[in-house]
Amino acid sequence: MESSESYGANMSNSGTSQADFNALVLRHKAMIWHICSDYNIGKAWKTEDCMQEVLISLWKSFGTFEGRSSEKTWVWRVATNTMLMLRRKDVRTLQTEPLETVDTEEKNEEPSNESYQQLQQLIDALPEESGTTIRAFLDGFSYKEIADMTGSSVGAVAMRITRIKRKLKQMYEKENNTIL
Amino acid sequence: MDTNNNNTMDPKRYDDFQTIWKRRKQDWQEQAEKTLPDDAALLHLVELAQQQAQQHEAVDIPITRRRKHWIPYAAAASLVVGVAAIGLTRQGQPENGLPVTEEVTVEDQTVHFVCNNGCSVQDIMLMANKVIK
Repeated sequence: MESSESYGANMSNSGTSQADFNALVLRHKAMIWHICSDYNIGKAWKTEDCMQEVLISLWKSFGTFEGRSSEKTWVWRVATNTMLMLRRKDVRTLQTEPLETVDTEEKNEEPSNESYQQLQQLIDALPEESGTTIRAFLDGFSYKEIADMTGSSVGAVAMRITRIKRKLKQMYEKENNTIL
Repeated sequence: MDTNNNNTMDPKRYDDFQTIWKRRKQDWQEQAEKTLPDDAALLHLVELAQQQAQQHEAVDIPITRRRKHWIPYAAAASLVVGVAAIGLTRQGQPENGLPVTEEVTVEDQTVHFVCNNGCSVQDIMLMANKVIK
């Protein structure tokens, strides 16, 4: 049953696989944290809670990862799906705050972080599938990797990304009331 | 795509779209590292997550006797998991038909499968139960 490529861990993980898992988390810590904060712009307090949820999902799936995709892609996919699931639960159970009143208590902010956050908020306003595709692109995945993740062709991904970027640019310009 | 025509650029604006776009693509890691907990705190979160994960593990879905007479177990398993996957995809999860499971077995009138993409057990159960009933 166990693939030679798998980590060989399951729900009763041994000490060795726990060490493997800890190493995996440390290898991808910045990416996981980034995904959690990316879905919680202006809600820094929520990032750690989401991080824990993502870690639960990763741990539960850890033993079944067989290396069919790269480790980075797999971690990104599990983390993103967990965030989408949490977001849908949030929508079902909580009233969302309007963007204008969102708490922006980020630490170490540079002056232009406002624009950086604005882009994140615009991505949030896109349909879920577009948001996920563009996040994958901005997080450094190649067209080929995104095509593998989404079951599309490389050409279709390239076209989709161009279209989404154009749309974001229009949204950004509209919000800022300027024409480039 | 042309961003060179900046004659009408708002003087109050700090960055143009292209600059922010580029920065988001290049600096996300640096941005994340500014607020990332240290390794000890992170491993503590891992420990908590592992404890919590043990509360619910793999998914077991009983197949009703009626269903057993209609289709063989193996077909029932792929039907249940397949439709659960479609249902989740329709809800936007997983994205574009990413595989929901890594392993499906059928034993004692129970479909057993392991979710490999962060879907919640509850969500899968909900979808699967709709198929079975």
